[in-house]
Amino acid sequence: MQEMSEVATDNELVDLSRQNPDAFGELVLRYQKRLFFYVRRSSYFSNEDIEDIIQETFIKVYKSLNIFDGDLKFSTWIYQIARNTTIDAIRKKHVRPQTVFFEEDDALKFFKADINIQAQIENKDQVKILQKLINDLPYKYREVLILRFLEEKNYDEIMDIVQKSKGTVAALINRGKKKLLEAAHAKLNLL
Amino acid sequence: MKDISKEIVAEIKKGQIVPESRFRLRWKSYLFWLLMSAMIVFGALSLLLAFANIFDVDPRFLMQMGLGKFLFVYFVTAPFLWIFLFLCALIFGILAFRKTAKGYRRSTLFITSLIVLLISLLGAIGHIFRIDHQMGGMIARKTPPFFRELASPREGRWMRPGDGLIGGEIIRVEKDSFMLKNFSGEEWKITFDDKTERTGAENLIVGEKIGVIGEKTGEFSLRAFSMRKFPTDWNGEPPQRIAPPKQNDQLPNGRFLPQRKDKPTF
Repeated sequence: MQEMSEVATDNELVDLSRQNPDAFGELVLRYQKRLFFYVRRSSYFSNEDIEDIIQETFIKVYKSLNIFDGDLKFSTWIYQIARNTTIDAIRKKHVRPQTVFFEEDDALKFFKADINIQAQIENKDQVKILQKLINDLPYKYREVLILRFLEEKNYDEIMDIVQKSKGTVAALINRGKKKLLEAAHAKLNLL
Repeated sequence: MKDISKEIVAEIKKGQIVPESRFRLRWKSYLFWLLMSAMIVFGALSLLLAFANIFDVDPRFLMQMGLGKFLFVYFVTAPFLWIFLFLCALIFGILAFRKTAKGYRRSTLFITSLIVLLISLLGAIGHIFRIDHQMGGMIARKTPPFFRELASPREGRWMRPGDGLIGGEIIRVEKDSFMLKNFSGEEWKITFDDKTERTGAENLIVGEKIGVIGEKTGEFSLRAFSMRKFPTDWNGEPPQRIAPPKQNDQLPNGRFLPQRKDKPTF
């Protein structure tokens, strides 16, 4: 079973999981880490809370296996469910995410298109300022920017994950980037 | 992060969790598809009735009244109710499509165009099968008067003697005039001559409904330039052409009364 699982594609594992829950364990193994980091970047929850969200996500995925028809990539579909579960958890806490966790490298990835900023960031204090700027972004912008620059999803995948039209996604990414760059230039006194 | 794959599988097995049926997972989406379909049908019916009202306008109105007055009459007697209901159906149809499982994938322009196209197609089919006539008649027969005025503004259009427009039922025919009972029950004397245009109203028959374009000449009199016969089911009331049998008439077998033979014609 294990050998078969290692070479099987996601879609094949989905088919197997419908008959046998053990095959689903392989899918969990493949995605648990990615989803953990994605939820950590999108929310302000503790690691324990995030693990609960991930567990809930996988149970929802398992229950919903019959509507996965291969129209979306499995990774896109599971991100969609993780995103919805995270938003539900945020709503339950009645608070919008305030401070979320970004590695230093993560913060710089948001500005990878702006060579000017990348070249002028000299010390950790400046990186911390960038991290704070990302945290201060409204959730709707931060969410799509995380998917674009940290999860490296393309526009079609982001559209399916956040369930908004492609035009809306493109507009959110552009406006979010613009806001972030303007704030970075103003805060860091960059040219 | 710790490996939770074994925990998840154990939880699935322990809780005897199984993948749910497609219908149970998608019922909301199916409901929104159904709602969208209903909105398309409703929109098509509204559009059908709106167009039936709009196309009732005779181009001779324009010649008779001039552009400014024509547009005014057209505006005040436009089928606002049906246009409003069509727009409501369109908006709710778009919203319902958006709520379906993949509804977010299409642009608003695409959804709007698609729904308008479907509504138009259904409307055209409905017109071919004369559903607009049947519905118009039904609305006029079975709805309260205040709603009838809103639903069938054609009557209002033909109740503007000041603008030279009057419609109603012929109640008496004379050599060069006839008496018309308009939709509010007033009796008007309509005079005509050889120059009066006639569309489907070559023979004036008591009980038939007719629209007259002309010029008001007195308090309850009008000189006709043009006369047109309305469809028999116009405003839902069939013409009163069947007269009670006379004393010597013998009723045929069956439930039907004989057609009146001595129709007064001109």
